[in-house]
Amino acid sequence: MKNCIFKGACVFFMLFSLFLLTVPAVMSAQSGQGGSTEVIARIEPETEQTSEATQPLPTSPEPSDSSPVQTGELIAWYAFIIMFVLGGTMVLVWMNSRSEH
Amino acid sequence: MKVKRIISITIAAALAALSAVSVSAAQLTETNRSGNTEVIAHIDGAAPGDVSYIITIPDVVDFGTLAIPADDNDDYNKDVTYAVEATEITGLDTAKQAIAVYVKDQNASADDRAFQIANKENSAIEFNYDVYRSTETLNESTRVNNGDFFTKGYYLTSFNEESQTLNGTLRFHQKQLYGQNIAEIAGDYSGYMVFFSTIDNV
Repeated sequence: MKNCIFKGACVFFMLFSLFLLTVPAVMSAQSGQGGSTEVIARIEPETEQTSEATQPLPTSPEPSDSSPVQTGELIAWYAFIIMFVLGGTMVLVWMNSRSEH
Repeated sequence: MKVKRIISITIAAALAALSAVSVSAAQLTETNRSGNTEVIAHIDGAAPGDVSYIITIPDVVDFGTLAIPADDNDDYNKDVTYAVEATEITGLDTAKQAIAVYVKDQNASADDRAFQIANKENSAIEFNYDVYRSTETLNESTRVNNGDFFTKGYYLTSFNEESQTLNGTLRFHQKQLYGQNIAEIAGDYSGYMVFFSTIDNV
């Protein structure tokens, strides 16, 4: 019974993986996608403002604090780890059940 | 037999992991605030072949620490630069097509199109900033939010070659802070510029 369940889970796993491989091609076949840039600033409380409020502030452009683009890497790693742990757990449980027999 | 089962499970796990990576790399979600935009498209009526491109936008632009000016003159501008680059373009018919980039505030609407940053503790406290498509000439002709506003946002620039870069400026008019109660407005501010890319026929 357990072997059947694990065989079925493996087959489902493989089929679902093959299905997921086709999803990016379908979802990305369209124009007009976009991304966003966060714009941040800070206003300090009064005790730290006293000396700055008495003179004009410089207007020269400053380099933007921008980090290189990292598309989805963190999410991809989380997804990989979750899938790997699930797969590994299934293998360990199955091997344990086999050793008991 | 045991070895075959282990191998089949391992292959299933590897396929699942690979598919997870490929799906995540192609999607932009609310939690993925990365600036990389990858689009693969086929344009009807254009020359046969797929058009693909990557437009790189900054992840974060930081105005730094803002201060209340001593008077309400227009001298107290805080400028920071940003860059938008056509990192990769393939299959584009440069004689007929270009990649247009639009930008708008994340909360922009037909009635309120300003670029804004809001206090993280009290979102009702907002200040405006301007977006320019230049780092040297900052006037009404180069101010992005001075143009027509479309559903996609304000037109920013167009690219038709790889490695083309737009270097622009964000300007915060600190005059807005004059006369404000520092105790009420102190804190961290955040806002989002949303970029939209599309292939236009020229």
